[in-house]
Amino acid sequence: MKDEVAAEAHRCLTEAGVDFVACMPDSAFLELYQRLEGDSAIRYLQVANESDGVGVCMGAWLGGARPAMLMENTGFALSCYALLRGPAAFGVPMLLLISYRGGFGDERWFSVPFGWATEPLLESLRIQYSVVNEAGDMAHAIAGAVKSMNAMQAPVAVLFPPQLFSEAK
Amino acid sequence: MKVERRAVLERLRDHLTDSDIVVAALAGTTADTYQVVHRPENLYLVGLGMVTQVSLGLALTLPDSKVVSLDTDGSLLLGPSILPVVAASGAENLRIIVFDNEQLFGSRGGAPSQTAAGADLTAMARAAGIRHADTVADEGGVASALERLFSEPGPALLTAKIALAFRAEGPSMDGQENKYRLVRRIEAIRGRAILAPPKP
Repeated sequence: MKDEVAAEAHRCLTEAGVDFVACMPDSAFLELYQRLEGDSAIRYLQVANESDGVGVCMGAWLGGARPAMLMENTGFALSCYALLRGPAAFGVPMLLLISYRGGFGDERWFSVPFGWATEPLLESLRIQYSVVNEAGDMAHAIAGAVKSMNAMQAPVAVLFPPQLFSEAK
Repeated sequence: MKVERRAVLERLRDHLTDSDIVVAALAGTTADTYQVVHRPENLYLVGLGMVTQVSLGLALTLPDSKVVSLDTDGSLLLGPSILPVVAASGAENLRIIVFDNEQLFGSRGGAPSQTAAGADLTAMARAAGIRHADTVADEGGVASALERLFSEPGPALLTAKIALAFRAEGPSMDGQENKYRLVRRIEAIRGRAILAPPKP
């Protein structure tokens, strides 16, 4: 993620009151998760599996945190069971920050199927989402997602497509 | 003679205060927890592969409460990747009790789990970096195993090799009602709001 984009995402998350981040590191988010990990106002936890991260975020919300899960869309696909069985079934809010690999213009053949699947999966899981096409969209997307997740008592997603990533994707 | 799950739960009650949180796996674990140690600080019917995960999130946000994960062999085998995360988190207030009946849907006589073939969840926990990991396989060892589990700082894990048992009646509320009740209780424990009042 470009440095200035990561800085803006960090600022927006702080402003939205996000104080707990579970992360399955994705190189696209390197600049962002390094910032979050270094922020003493945020409890940052690296997980080894995105499904685990969803469960941890559910517990963190129950305990009074405002959680976000930072992951690649490949990991979002992996976490669908946990999203349905945990936050969807119990009605638990969390912010899902998802890198949009395999989107329009991505040349990696193995990412392409995840590009096909990401938005249909979100729709089938009844997860509201917005796509941040440029850094200027970020503040509105993150603030709106946090308001919606609290109002709906459900997860809400924000997608970050490749044009926001740094050169070395 | 294997351990009765209810015997573990009866002893567990002695180690809990009313600011501690219990997270129970679905099916027989939830039913027996409800029958033996029902309290407003319990979360029931948590899905396979999510019990210790949810418990870790609670433990990290409620450092002044003990959080007890009542997990199972099938559930932990689905999500064993949480074990090294638990170890690395250093969550001293987290205790995990794994009810291992060596069977999937044991209360209905389902297929054996891989622990029946020798998979050792305590050894897996130790290998993942959870230093305080123990197994209790007989009724006489339950009290001392729980003493050890709670006397040392967590994260700690106890595998209880339990006998098969028929499933009792579970709670009458669904997960959404359970969530709201638990969150209101945690608001009282923390002394501050979690749920914002709805916009008029």
